[in-house]
Amino acid sequence: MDNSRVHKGLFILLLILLIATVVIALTKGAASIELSIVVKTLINGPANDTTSRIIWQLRFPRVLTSVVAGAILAVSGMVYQALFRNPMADPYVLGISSGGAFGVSIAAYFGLLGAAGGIWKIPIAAFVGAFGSATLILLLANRSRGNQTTLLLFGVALNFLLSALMTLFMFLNRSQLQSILQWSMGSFATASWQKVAIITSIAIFSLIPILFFTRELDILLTDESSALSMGVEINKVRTILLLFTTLATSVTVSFCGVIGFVGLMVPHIMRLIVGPRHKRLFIFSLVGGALITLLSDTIARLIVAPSELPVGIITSIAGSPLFFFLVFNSRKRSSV
Amino acid sequence: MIGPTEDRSGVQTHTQSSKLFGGEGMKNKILLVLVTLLLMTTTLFGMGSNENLSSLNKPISVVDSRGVEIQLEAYPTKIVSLSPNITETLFALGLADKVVGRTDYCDWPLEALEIESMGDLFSPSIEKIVASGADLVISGNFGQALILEAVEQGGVNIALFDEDQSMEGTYTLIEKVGQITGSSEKATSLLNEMKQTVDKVVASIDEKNRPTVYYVAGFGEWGDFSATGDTYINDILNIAGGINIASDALNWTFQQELLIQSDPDIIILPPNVGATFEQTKNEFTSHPVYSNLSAVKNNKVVSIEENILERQGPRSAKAVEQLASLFKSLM
Repeated sequence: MDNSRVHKGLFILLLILLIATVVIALTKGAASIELSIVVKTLINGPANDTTSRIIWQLRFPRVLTSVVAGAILAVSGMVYQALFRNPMADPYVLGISSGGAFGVSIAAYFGLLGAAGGIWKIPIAAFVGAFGSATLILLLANRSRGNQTTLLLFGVALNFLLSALMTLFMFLNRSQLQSILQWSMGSFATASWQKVAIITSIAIFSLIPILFFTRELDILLTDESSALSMGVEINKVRTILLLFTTLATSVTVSFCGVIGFVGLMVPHIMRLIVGPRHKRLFIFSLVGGALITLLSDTIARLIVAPSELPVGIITSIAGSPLFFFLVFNSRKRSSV
Repeated sequence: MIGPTEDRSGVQTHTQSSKLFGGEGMKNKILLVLVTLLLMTTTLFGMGSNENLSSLNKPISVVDSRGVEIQLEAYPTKIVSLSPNITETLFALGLADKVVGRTDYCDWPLEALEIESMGDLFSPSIEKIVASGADLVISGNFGQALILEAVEQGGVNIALFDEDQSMEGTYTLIEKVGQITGSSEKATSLLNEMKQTVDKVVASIDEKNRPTVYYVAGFGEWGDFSATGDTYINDILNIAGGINIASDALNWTFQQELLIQSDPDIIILPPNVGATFEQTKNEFTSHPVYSNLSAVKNNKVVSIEENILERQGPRSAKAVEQLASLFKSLM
């Protein structure tokens, strides 16, 4: 009981942190606009002057996209980790992200994108690639009959293959090498309200069902014998959950490129804070993923302004040492 | 490279075998092996230094952009160019009949297309270069470091000319290419001509009426790329009388919100690969973010041939001239 009060407090703290970061992200950028003017612009709503366009057309959708994408990636990572019973599972490791990147590079090679890409061509190419590789994994998930290790290894192998093919097509298409490379490292730079609308609806549609399966996820992760005794039902649950998370991550990858480590890192950090129960872990991962991704994107925007870093670089650089630390620490703790 | 690796494996054998056998005879054998290896390495190094000594007296000597001193017995008669701007420079210096190799990207002047290509810009064929019988290979800066080394190992002289990303850099580049090919005189007169053109442009600039400009190197879904402060195009834009709004940024990346805020007077939009300028312009001006820019509304989105703008070569002065008159006509 006491524990749950602590968790409630922690969750509120996390929410406050997220809202504060949203405000900071809206006020900071390469174009310096005074805080009071930002606030005024936000209150006045969208208009056609320069400041308003910067805030409403560029920063706001970008901030929201990174929040929603982060939430999707973190929750999907959490689900993958339970489904595959493997702490290393996430959209990136399973080859879904590189499927998206592969889709883009092959479409660029065949000249389907045009040099500037059009507004929807790149997301569509990425979605086809991401969902294609995800479908392959789903098909195998049904055939492997619950052998998660096989499935994970298949994902890893697919990841390697797709990455190699992506590199191949990038080198065959040298004139767009830098663009594709930059895209493949993840960016929210091309966010728009249309994309916010799409990614948010997808997030609502595919993440909310997960809330109804948190008990099954708990069973899957912690109690092997009852998971096995549930038999067919658990297979059905797995397929449903895979379908929803894969849809969400495919859309995320198609809009934002490959953003590594969020899906891997956030659920682990949150598990250390609130424990392995998925009901709590779900909302903590949701908010935590949003916070970390938004924070990373804000750093990516500000650190080399007026230029910009790919956000995937920030998440990976920030993520991996933290991850090392967590693994090391939890090992020490469990051995004591 | 060969020396140390073999030495290391020698030491490994030593420790392993002394553990296993430890006999006197074994020790002697190992000693023998080590001495042989030592002799081999010193011979290898010796060979290298001998070569260096003998080449000290060669009559022609030019230091390239790596700081390497290129020494030649005689001026080259067969030259391979691994960069479009070098090819243009060689032709401008009247060396067309000496160029025996180019890259796929060396498309100017048109006669250059008749010369055999060694492959693409980033990974030309080393075997082809060596087989061309060239006595000098001149490379630009396209990540060809590995190729340089390999060509040198193939016994062909190679010089890298990648000077400062500025008009001054172009001048020194042409000067150096002139020196190493024995056409310094021609280079001097070419440079004088170029400097005259540029000086004329600079003198005619209305300092109070400099337009702000933005060069579109990439836009739309791929993200925004521009000729940032560290690029050659940035210098050309400034010399031609423009104020480049991306000059504070680096590495070709630029943030959209700054483009909106700076709202440049003129936008230079080179056509996309495989598209016409009109198609590219339509795509740019119909984009929701760019459509509100003043330059789009005032129809000041223009194009100039990308190649003369970004290649550090004899046509750079023309690029300055063209840009300057473009700026004037739009202001």
